Amino acid sequence: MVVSLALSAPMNDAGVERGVSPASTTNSPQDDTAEERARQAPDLEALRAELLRLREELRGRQQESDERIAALEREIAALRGQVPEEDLDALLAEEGDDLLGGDSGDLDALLAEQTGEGEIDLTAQAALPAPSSGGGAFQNMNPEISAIVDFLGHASNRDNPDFEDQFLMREVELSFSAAVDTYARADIYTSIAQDGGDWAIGIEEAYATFLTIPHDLQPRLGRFRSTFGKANTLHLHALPFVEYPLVLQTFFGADGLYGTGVGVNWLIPNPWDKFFELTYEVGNADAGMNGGIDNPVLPESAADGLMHLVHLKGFFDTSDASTVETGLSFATAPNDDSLGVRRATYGGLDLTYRWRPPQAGLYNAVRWQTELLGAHVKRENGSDSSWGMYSALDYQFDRRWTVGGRFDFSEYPDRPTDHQTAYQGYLTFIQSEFLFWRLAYRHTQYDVSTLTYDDEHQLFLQCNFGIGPHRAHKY
Amino acid sequence: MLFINRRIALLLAAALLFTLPARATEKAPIRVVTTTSDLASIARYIGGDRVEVMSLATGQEDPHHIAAKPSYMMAARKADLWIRTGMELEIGYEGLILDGSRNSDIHVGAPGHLCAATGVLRRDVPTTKVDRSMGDIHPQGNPHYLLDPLNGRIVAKTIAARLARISPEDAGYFSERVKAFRRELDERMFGKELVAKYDGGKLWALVLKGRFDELLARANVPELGGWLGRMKPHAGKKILPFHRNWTYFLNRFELTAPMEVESKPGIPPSPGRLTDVIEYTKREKLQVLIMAPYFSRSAPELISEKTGIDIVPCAMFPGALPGVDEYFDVFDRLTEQISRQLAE
Repeated sequence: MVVSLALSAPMNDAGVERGVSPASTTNSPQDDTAEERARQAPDLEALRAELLRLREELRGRQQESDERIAALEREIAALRGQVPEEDLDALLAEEGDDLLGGDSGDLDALLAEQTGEGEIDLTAQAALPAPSSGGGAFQNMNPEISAIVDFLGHASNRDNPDFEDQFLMREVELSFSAAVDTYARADIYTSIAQDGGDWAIGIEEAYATFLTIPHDLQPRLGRFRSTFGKANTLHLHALPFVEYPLVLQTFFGADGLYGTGVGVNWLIPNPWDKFFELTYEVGNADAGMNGGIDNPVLPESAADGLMHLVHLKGFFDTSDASTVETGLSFATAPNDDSLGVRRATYGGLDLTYRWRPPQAGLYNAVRWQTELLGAHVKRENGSDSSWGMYSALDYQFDRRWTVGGRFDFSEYPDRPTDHQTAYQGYLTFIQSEFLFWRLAYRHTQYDVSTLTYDDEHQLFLQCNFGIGPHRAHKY
Repeated sequence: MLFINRRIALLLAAALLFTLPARATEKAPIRVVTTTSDLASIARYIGGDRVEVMSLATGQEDPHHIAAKPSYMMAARKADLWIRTGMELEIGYEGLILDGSRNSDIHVGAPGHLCAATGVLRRDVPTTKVDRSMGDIHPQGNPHYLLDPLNGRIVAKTIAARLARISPEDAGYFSERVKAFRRELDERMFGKELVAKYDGGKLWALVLKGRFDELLARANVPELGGWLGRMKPHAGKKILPFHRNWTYFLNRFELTAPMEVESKPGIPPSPGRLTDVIEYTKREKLQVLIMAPYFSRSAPELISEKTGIDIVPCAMFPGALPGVDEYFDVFDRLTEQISRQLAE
């Protein structure tokens, strides 16, 4: 403000001068006599003197405020430099003379100065830009907030009342993450999705993780995706394919297996320093976003028994470019609404191979992910066993392009004589880290004893985009 | 039988005599894990035999796109000191590794967590509000600050101070190592003769005050050598970088890059952009296109085909190219490659 005033002062000067004389001529166009001019001259002189005085004053004030700003900037910069360097200087005791901060303008004087180890006071540099906070310090305490939208266009050769040929806002996920305190962090993921004609908001996950527990233990509590296998732990937008594998959908419901409860995982110490993690979770058998409605086996309301889950994960770097991850999962949950006498038991095996050469990793990668699941469901009269699997292969062939295919086979845990088999291919265009497009085609064969089902051909066009802070990607 | 037992007992006792005192005096090295290989190289120099350093990145990959592999969590689990580049370079993976490590000694705020960007000279700091329409912009500034040797000099001391905090009895040793590091860096930067005559710190001060050339113009001043000696004849020349990750290097060695091949940081060039770049390259008669080896050569090769510009794949990190193993090698190679190409 001050700067602009001072800079424009000369212009004003001239402008005012021009402005005054036309004013006087308009007042008395005809009486423009020498006498009149002589009478006005002292006024003009006075005005000019006043303007000059004002200009000087402005200039003085500007200089004063510039100096004050510079002094404050120096002070801030010095403080900024001191905070982290404090113990550093004390410990190393080699602080040199403040060569750059000094006044010596003479080169010889500069060279004659004792610099010791040559400590350079960068804060004295005019070139040093002040770090920009980008949002203001008050935002530091806010959690990281992001929103992810999943949009899907779908077409099928079959009439399906739940899944018409239409555009679908599958999900709007709002997430909040932050450290709770020194010991814990919280992650909350809400999901807004269309349920019938209405929009419903659900808690996808909301949990606290305790980060400072000794003995390599890490407990968490709340509601979270159960650590069963690989794909089940991923959110919809993080899947490499359009929808969850069929076996997860038929065994656990459209959104996979969830639990509300507590869990703890333990990094198993081992002489080879390899990653082995054992997870135990106990909670209400709470399958699916909608409280278990989708789940064909687990009860709609939490039964009088709890779900127990154990997962063992191993991870190996097979080379600089490739890794193998393998997991074993086991879960058991009550299968009746009342007493928890009858139980359903699930077992799973997952294997993921990934290849990503370090140097070409921006452009080429391979992922092969396979899971096998089995279920044993006790009924009032006997029990049923069923199984299912999927295997997906993805190849990134360019910076923005990935192509993949998936094979699905799944029996139904509530109707073990029936099964479905599906083949699909998909092409993903990664517009940026925050938006991708995916085109997929799926061919599904239904082998259902009671009804005659034609094969289904489905086409999907997915667009997924997100705003908010950059999130870390789970491997 | 008794005799044998006695002999065994004696042997055991002797073995114990040898091993016990050794164990008592031998201190376990400080385990340092760095995110990038340049930080690892500096930490190894400063820490000497008192540290054991491991870098997550090999130097070959794009440092923005390192995956949070569980095996990195195992490395971080035992670390005494975690050093990161900061300025959001590691935003895509650091949190997961630190949380997964179960090692609260290296969490943010703990003495075992060091952000090396503390106190460095920053460039490309946005002065306006930034958003994603601008590409991969870092709100705190360009994080490739170690491509300015001056920042290497600063980081060396920052690391030494933190190592000294973790192991105060070795403070003297680390301090000596910083001196050695700075001496070597200064000699490589300005040449041995100049550093011998004037203290390296003074030379840096003159560079920063914009008065270094004044010194060189004087009589009886030893000839400028080192990296700056190689690059000085090319001061003011324009080159074409693929991505905006050379800002610090270009500024320090007085080269300019008014345009990059990418239209915005991290956004692959469109055909329209390539046409503009080709026109610009022809108009300005640019000779050198520099790029990190982890980017695809297809767009640069097209530009080269149309304009004759030379593509120079340059190592930004130790480990990026064969023979570039340590931090100083990065500048040895960069100044050698670029000065040779510009001289042609």
